[in-house]
Amino acid sequence: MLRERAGRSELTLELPEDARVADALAELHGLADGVPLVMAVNREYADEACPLDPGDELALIPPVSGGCAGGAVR
Amino acid sequence: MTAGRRSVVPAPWVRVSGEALSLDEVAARVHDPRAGAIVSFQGVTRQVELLHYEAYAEMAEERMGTIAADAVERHGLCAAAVEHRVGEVPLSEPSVVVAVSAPHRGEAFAGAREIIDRVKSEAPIWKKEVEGGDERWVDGTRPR
Repeated sequence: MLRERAGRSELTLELPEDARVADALAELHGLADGVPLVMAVNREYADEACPLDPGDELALIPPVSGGCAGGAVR
Repeated sequence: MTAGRRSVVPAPWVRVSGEALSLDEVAARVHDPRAGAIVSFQGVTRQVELLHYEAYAEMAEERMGTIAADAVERHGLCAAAVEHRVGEVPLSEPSVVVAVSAPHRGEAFAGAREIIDRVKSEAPIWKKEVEGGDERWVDGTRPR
């Protein structure tokens, strides 16, 4: 869903040396507004205070809905 | 958990795949001479023409592996295996399959239950309903 909004599946950000996850989110200029996200850094769930190093992979993860049971009825 | 003990337990089988899932193949992955019980679970799509699943596959597999390894450790399982399908899954076909083996049925049921519950709430996988040409992302749960 974020990919549809952004028009691409990944992007590269230039951040200061001491950047944290929150700084990366700010660089997205509202792309993720209104979506209750959690973040993952290098495939592990992480919070906004998590420091970022060059080359780190930050993922924005909307509420997950894997598994079974389709349809609106739960 | 020590490295020594861990080394005798094979890592759980996990896979995120675009292909149709086979219950038999997943269950065969947990055969173990110590096991007196094998519990398997299939989650199938329902009440919708088809569901389209997307995953952050690398992380989903890592997460599924951790979840399954936790269950092996906590419930004393002999083995565990989980597969999740991505892409289009037609009505009534499995989107997720879990199998575990254990010495007795109690641990096997508990372990399989824990794995499917955690995979659904923690693995970065999303689904979109497709009905009569309309598409809608299905509301999910916030991981953790």
